Amino acid sequence: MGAYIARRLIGLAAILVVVGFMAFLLVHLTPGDPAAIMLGPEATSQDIARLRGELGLDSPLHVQLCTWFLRALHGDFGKSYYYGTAVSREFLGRLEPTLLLTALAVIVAVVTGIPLGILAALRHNSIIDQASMTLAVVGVSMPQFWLALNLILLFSVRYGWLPATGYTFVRDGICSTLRYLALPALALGLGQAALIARMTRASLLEVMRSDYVRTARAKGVRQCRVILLHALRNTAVDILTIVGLSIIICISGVFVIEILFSLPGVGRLVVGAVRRRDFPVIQGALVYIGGFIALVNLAVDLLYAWMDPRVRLS
Amino acid sequence: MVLVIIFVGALAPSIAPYDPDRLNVRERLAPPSVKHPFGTDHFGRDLLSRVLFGARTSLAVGGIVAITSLAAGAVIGCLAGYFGGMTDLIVMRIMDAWMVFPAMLLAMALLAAFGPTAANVVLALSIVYTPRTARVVRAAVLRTRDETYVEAARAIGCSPTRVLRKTIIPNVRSQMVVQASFTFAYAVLVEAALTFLGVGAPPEVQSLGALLDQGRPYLRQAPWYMLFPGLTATWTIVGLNLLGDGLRDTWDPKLTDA
Repeated sequence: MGAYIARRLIGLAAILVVVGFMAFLLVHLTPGDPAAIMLGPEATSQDIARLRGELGLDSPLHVQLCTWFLRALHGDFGKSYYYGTAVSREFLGRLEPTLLLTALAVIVAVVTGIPLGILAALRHNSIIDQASMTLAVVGVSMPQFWLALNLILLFSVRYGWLPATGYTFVRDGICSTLRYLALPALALGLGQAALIARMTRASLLEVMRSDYVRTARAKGVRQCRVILLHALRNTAVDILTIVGLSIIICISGVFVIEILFSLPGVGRLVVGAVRRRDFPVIQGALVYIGGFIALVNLAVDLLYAWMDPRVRLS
Repeated sequence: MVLVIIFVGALAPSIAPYDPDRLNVRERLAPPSVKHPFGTDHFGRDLLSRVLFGARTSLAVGGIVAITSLAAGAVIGCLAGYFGGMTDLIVMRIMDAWMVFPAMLLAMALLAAFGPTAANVVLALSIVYTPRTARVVRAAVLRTRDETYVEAARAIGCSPTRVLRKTIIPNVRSQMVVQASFTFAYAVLVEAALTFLGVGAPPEVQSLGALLDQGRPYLRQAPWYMLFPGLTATWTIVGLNLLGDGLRDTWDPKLTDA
């Protein structure tokens, strides 16, 4: 196990270096002068020259790369030119809504998706199976923001049960926070639930056909015991992968959802930065979010290896 | 389903009942009726016609992205899979790092760098989806590389390009097409989201995402404004996903569920 962890950590380091390199290159992909683009058409040439100096754009490329990496290692991605504060501080201040939203959405997805998948697999080819799989394809295909708009229409415009937009921080009372996050988490999680249901079903169907399930049945173990102890245990590895994947997809969805529900989170910060072409913030986002996802992947793989020794030995 | 939507997109100019840009202020935000089956928007423009033209744009974007990312991914995947060794290691490490970024984030970051135009949306999405295709192609190439017929082709002195083209590509073609149909679906979805956030193509470019964005302020007064573009987008993507599933089931019986 130790050797496996070491090997994976080296892999993670390699990925992070490439991620950093890509984030660095982003600024240099712009046609023209990034400083001029950031400041817009009304900027004077002195302003542009000053920003070029601040961003270090005047030194040779390899020098820029080295300084950028050294600073990034300390978590320093420079200052947001719009807010005038350090990029890392902007991110920290907006972490809470995004993390809570992602966690809630993953819970919604897992709690609805896995039972639906199990049900579909156990009643294979029945109406329940057909209906839930149709629902799953539609769920995967629906634009998230459209689902979100429909939820707003139903729950806050029609019935007025839940607030459509806004957010209160946890320190001002968690109940109110949860009320504000309910619709966004539903909108984000239901699409994932469809995906999870599909994959749970496929995985369980495969296990149910295996020899050990047949043996268990043959020796007279009751159906629910077969499912819980023999079949589900062996799909746990697959389900773990799916949950990891679902976290990643949820993070991909926070941008649209946070804008739609006016949540003051990381997603909104990044979308705003893209609109204003605030490059330091975008670079920070690439490294932070890319790094976070690489960590989630690593955690999933390590758990996987812990649960299934065949993985770490191959 | 896919055929219907491609048909509709291709024929949009001739089947649209009205000019999608014709203003009719007297009929602002009219509900669906016989005259305007999908209702009208805040300028009194016929929504059915606008949805038809929007679908056309979305499909064009998705189609081009699917083809370019397939081509680029196939080249990278073949090279990495066929030659193996250091090339494979380095190329796939870069692809892995590329894929840790969520599609939305990478697409937005690239658009911030390139500037928000329709052509750049296509470029950015193609870049985003290339590594995914490359991975699928590489895995498929690795599986076929050691087959006897490939070895035979190599033994009689075929050049690497010829081996790839004549013996390997025909065997991985089905997986490439399946991957392309999923890419198509994702590209339509992400394009709509980008436009909706206002970081994609400018609003003059009519796409389904743009229509949804314009309909958003009228959610209360005119729910049909965003209902029909959304339904059309969902329909298209469901169709593409089912197409991908169907193709996979037909070509690769091993991967089917049951």
